[in-house]
Amino acid sequence: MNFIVNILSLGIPFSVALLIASLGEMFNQRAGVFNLGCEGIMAMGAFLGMLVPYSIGQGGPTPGIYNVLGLALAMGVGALFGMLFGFVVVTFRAPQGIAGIGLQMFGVGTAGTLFRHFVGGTQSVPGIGNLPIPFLSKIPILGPIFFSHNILVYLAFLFVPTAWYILFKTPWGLRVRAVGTNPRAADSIGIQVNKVRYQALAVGGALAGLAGAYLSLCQAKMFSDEIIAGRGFIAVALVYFGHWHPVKIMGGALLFSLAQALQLAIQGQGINFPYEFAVMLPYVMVIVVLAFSRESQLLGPTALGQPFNREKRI
Amino acid sequence: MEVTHKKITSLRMEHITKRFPGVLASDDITLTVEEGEVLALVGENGAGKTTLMNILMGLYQPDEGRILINGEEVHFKSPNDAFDAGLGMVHQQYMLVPNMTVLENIALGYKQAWSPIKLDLGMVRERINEISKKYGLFVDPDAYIWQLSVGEQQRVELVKTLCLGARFLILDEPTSALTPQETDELIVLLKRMSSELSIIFISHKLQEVKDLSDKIAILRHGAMVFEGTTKDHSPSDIAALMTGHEVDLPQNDAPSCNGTPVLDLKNLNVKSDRGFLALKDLNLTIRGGEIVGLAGVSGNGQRELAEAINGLRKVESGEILFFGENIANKTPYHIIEAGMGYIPEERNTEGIVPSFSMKENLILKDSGRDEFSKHSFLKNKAIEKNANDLRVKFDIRSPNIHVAAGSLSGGNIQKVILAREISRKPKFLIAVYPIRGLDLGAAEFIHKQLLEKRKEGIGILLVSEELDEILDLSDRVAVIFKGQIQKVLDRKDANRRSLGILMAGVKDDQTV
Repeated sequence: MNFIVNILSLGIPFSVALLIASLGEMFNQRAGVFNLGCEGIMAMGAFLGMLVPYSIGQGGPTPGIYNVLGLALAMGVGALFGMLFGFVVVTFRAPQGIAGIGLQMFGVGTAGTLFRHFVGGTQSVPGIGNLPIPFLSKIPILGPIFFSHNILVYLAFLFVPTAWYILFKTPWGLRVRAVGTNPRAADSIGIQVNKVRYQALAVGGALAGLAGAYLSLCQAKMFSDEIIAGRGFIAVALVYFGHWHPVKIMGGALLFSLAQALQLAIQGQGINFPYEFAVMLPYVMVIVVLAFSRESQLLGPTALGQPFNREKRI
Repeated sequence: MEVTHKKITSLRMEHITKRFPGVLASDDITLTVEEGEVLALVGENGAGKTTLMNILMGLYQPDEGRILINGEEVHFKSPNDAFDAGLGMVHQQYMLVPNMTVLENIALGYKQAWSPIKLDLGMVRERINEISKKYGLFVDPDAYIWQLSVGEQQRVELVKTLCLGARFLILDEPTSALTPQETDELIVLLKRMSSELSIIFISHKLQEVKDLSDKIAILRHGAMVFEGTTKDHSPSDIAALMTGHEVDLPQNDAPSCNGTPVLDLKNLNVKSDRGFLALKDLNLTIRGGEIVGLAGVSGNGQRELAEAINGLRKVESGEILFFGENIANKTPYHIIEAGMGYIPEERNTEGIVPSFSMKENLILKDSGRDEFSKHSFLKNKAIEKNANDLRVKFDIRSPNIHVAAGSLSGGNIQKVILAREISRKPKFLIAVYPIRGLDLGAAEFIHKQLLEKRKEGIGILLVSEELDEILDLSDRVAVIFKGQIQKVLDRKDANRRSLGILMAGVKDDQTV
């Protein structure tokens, strides 16, 4: 029993970075742009998120305000990166896959370089601590699993219904879905396709930045070059996995993270199982589930990856 | 959104010129529409009608010329500007988002229902109901677009444009997907509406041009060749001006044949995308050397039938006997190899690969054959010779054989598909709405080709909503309604009235 509670209470905070990043990526893709540079934006977010409390918040009595500033900076720069990506793939209609890989390298490289310049070596920050919810966190089993996390964990799971509402119940969400599926139709009815795509990219970038900052401020409480460790790419895969739907994406993020928690627990328990295979487990699981998940082309953004050019006749 | 409700008393396009790479799409065109007028814009495919209207709607920017409304020059940088001025257009290729509902598609343009945090779908629904009632155009607001047939989608388009408050309507071939009854109703409706608004409509159907329009403008190769009042000219005059020569659509007047059955559908059950049975125990037999016209309002199972026969849709139960072999649930490859030719409904997405060149599209089904490849390399010379031959034989009007097939006009795309299918020497041909949206010249050509094939002893299943097309070509007419064959009539017993009644679902035409 304890073993399972451990896995769950470990897996849930693990899923948060993936969840936030892939919800952002979902908005990108729903608008018809897939951003493989998610990883790069996350790296920038992770660096900037810890930089603020590290450099100006050092030794201060209230680290809280600097943490919030760090998160805000990470989101702001993330949004900026998203729009920069938009400039390349929306305005100049560059191939999105290639541009995304470029953004990933740019982000990871820039974050690492700035880190060495401003911070130097490995430094830890106090980060954002856990906020057990009074009373609820005392419930046996459920308390440690659901109600003993840091505030971003709770927020991230609130993002799921929020994202759903935005996507399906607001005019902006309607526009996002339209430009990602039939931009020509959206254009004919007076929607500025490229503007909506920029907006979605800004939202996606901000969330990717936040996801990165979560890793450095809440999970690792430090920055290193490998801190993102492919989570940006997993987030992109989770969007396909979740068929561009927030709830299914959450399911995917949880599945992956629980598998990761399981492999850590296996190693921690000293169970005689080759750890190399344990480490592979979450990734193998994503591949297997992706391979067996049903195609739902009819509901996805069919214009995904296609730049919009009004006067192109094909 | 700021909306002016000022009437549009006159609209004038002056000296409009638009060039696309290699094409002069509009060549110094000037036209005027006054309040309450209906202007018919006619011309063959590729004559530049749609381009001209896209310029009017702000979708394209003209290279030269200007647009005046009520005598004042306007600049439409995007469709939004055109909407605000009161223009609304129903495009020929439907501008609908397939994975959204009808309601959402209309909400997309209905800015009154937008608040930053909430989309007021209830308000949109009311507006749809109001418009539906007012004009008798009924749509299911909660259906997804991908679940609807082409005819239904057209209706959604009309409702959408009306919902968005257009006071000047531009209709790009509005009736091309409607049944005869719906067309008649629409014409009555448009006539009534023309008392309060002006209409420009693009059409190939000269009868409705005569019925509906006050003025007529004819385009040929991007230039205006004729402008005048409709009532002074007969349909055949207009046709001659349009094509540059006299047109006479071919008729099937050969005696009916008694060939052996080649395609035998037995108790066919097939599901639609929505999961209900689109074909219910359907039975139909087609013999070699005859054309069977399948008449029906679109959405009654035609698409599912064509797809099931071609292996593109699962057959739940029943048999499809093709020269005695049951091909139900066989792969498309197997069915093509067995000699099936297919002219699909969606020529742009199913008939061709738009980004492939014309010559490549012409060998899509044969790329692996010795004729066009050797040691898994394509034989470019043979492919180009094939394309050049077919281009001449089928009168495909393209700059060359290397252009992307998707850049051709609808009629020429259809000729590419027809050329590919016929040149493969099929044993059977399924043609789904083969002349939908095509001009007279192209329609004449395609009909002649189909009759030619019939003469060679090939069985043809012709799916169409156009009663004239069905009556011109068919030896027998089968009427489909709700996934079943209502009745099969010999050509001599079929006429517009009897078919219309059967298409509406009344089985015994004596009772009406």
